Amino acid sequence: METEMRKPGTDVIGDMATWGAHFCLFYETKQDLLDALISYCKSGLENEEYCLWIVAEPVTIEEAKEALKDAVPDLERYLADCRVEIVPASDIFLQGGKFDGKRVADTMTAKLASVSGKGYAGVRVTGDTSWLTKRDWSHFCELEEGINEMIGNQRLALLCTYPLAGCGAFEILDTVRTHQFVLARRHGSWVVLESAALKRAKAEIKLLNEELERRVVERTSELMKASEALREAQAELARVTRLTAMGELTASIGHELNQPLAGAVANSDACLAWLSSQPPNLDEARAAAERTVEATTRATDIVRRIRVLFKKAAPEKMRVNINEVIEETLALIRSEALRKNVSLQTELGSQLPPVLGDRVQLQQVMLNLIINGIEAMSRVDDWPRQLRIRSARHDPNQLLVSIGDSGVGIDAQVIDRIFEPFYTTKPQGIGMGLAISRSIIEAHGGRLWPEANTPNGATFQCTLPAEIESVQ
Amino acid sequence: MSDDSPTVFVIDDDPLIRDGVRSLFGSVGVRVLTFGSARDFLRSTRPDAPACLVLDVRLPDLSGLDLQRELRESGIHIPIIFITGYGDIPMSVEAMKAGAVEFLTKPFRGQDLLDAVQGAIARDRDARHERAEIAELRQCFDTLSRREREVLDRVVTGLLNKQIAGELGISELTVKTHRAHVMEKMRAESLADLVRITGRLRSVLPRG
Repeated sequence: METEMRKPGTDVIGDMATWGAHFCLFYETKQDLLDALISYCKSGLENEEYCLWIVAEPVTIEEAKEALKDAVPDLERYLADCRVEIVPASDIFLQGGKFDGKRVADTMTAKLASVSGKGYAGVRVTGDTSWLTKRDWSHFCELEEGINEMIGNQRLALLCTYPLAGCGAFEILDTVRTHQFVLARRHGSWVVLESAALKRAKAEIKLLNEELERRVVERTSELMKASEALREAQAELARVTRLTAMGELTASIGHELNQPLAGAVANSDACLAWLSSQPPNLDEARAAAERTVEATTRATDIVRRIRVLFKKAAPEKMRVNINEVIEETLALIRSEALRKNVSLQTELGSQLPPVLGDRVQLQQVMLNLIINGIEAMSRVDDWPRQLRIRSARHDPNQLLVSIGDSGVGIDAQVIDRIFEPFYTTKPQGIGMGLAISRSIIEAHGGRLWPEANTPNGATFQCTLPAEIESVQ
Repeated sequence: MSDDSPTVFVIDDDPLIRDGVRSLFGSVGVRVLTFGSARDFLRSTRPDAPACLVLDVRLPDLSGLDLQRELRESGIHIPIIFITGYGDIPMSVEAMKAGAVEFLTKPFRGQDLLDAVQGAIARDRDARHERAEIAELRQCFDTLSRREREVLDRVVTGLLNKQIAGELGISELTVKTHRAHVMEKMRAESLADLVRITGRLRSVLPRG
C-alpha cells in the first residue's frame, strides 16, 4: 500500500469522481462524512450529473438535505426534478430487512438504467455502510468486487463510505482490496491511499499505452509509405498505359502533325516565291505568310496536347469541362478513326456543369475508351463502323459520358473480367486500359460500366459528379 | 474548251494545304483548281488541256485511291501525284502500281511538288499528243474500204502483190491500185512507214 498526498481540503473529493472510479472513504466523525459527501454531490450537480446519496446511521435524510442545501441553494428544485435523490440505506441494501447481494445489485442496476436515458452527463452514487454487520461482510465484499467488473465502461462514479470505528484491520484490508483507491482523514487533511495493484495496473496501462502508441505511429508511417509507393506505382502504371495507348496512335498523331506542317511548308514556299517574283506580289505573300502562321499554330496545339498526355505529373484536381476533354481527345484520334474507316458522331450536351478532376487522367479514360471502341470495330465489314460519343446531364448532380461502338460487342463470358488488371482480348494489349480507366473514374467519385448495344457493339458509360456551385 | 495552258487540280480536305498549294502554283503562273473532296472534283467541268492531279490519299467519303480507280475505270487519263501524311508503304505501292506518277509525303518541299507537277504535265502533254495522233490515224483507217483493209493486212505481213492477188482472187493490177489508195489514205510515205503506222494502230485497236 502506498500513500500519496493530493491537494488538501474537501473539494478534492468532488474531483476524485472520474468516470469508472470506484473508491472508498473511511470517516471518524459524522461531520467529516458530511463534508466529504457534500463536496462529492455538489460537484456532481454542478457537472449536470445525477446523484444518488444512500444515507445510513448516524446521518439522517433530513440532516443530509440540510447540509447539502447550505452548499447547493437550488437543492429543492434539484430534488423536485429528481436530479438528486437522497434515500435511506434500508431502501437499497436492506430490502425485506436483510442484506441480499444479488438483490442489491439488481436494484442498483434498475436504478441506473432508469436514469441512464434522461440525458445526464453521468451518474455519481455514494452509499454508507454503517449498517453492515460482520455476518454480511464477506457477501458485501463480493458485491464490491462485482462493481469493479461492471463499472469500467460507464459514465459512473461510486463512493462507498465506511465508519473507521466499525472496521478492524481485517475489514480495512478487504476494503482497500475491493476499491481502486481509499480516502482517509489523517492529521486534519484528506489523504489518498492507492492500492499497489492499482498502481501496478496504472503503470502497466501506461506502458501498454505507450507501446500501443509507438506501434500505431510505426504502423501508420509504414502504411503511409506503402500508400505513397502504391500511389506512385499507380501513377507510373497509368502513365505507361497512357504511353501504350499513345503508341498505338503514333501513325495517326504523325499524320495529325504532318498535316499542318505540310500547310506551313507549302505556304511559306509560296510566300517566298511571291516575294521574289518581279515585281513582288506583297498581298499574295502576306496571305501566304498568314496561313503559315495559322498552320504552325495548329501544329503547336497538337504538340501541346500530346505533351500533356506524355508528361509525368502528380494528379491535380481542378474544374474541368468534360466536353473540352472529349474534343481534345477527338482531335488526337480523328485521323486514326479516318484511317480505320470509323465515322465519329458526337452529341455533346450544352451548358454542362464542370467536373472536379484531373484533366489528363480524364483524357486518358476518354482515349482508352475511344481506342477500344475503334479497335472493337476493326473486323466489322458488314455494317457501318460508327463511334458515338455523348455527354449529358444524368441527374442534377451527375454527368454521363457514353462511348458506343458498332463493333463485335463484349462476349458475355468475359464481361465480368474486362476490368481485371492484365486481362486483354487484344494481341498487343497489356490489359490495363479498362482497369485504370475504372480506377480513375472511381477516384473521381463516378462509375464506369459496359452495356450491350442493339443490334451490335458495346457502350461504355461513365458517370462523374458535377461541380454544381460553379453553375451560378 | 481547248487551249494548251496546263492545269493542276488539287484535292485535299485541309484548306490550309489547298490554299498553300494554290498560292504556290499561282506564284509560278500555273493554272490551278482546288477541291475539298473527290466528289467535288468529279462533278466539276475540267478544261481540255494538259493537266495533272495532286491528290491527298486520305479523304473523307471517297478516298484518293478510290478516285484513282474510278478515273481509270471511266477512261479518264490524268497523271496523279499522291500526297499523304502517312509514310504508309503498302498504300504507296498500291498507288504506284495503279499508275501514280509520284508519291510525296507530307510535309513536302514546294520545289519537289513543282518538279513533280512539271514532269506529270509534260507526260500528260505527250500522252495527249499520242492520243491525238492515234485518233487521227484511226480516222484515216476508218476511210479504208473492206477490200483496201484486206490488202493492207497482207501488205504489212510482207506478202508480194502476186501472192495477195492469189489469196484474194483478184488481179495483181487491182491489188496495186488498192495498195496505192491505202498508202495515200494512211498518209504513208513508204512501206516501212505503213508498217509502223499499222503497228501503232494495232496496239490500241481491237483486232478486225
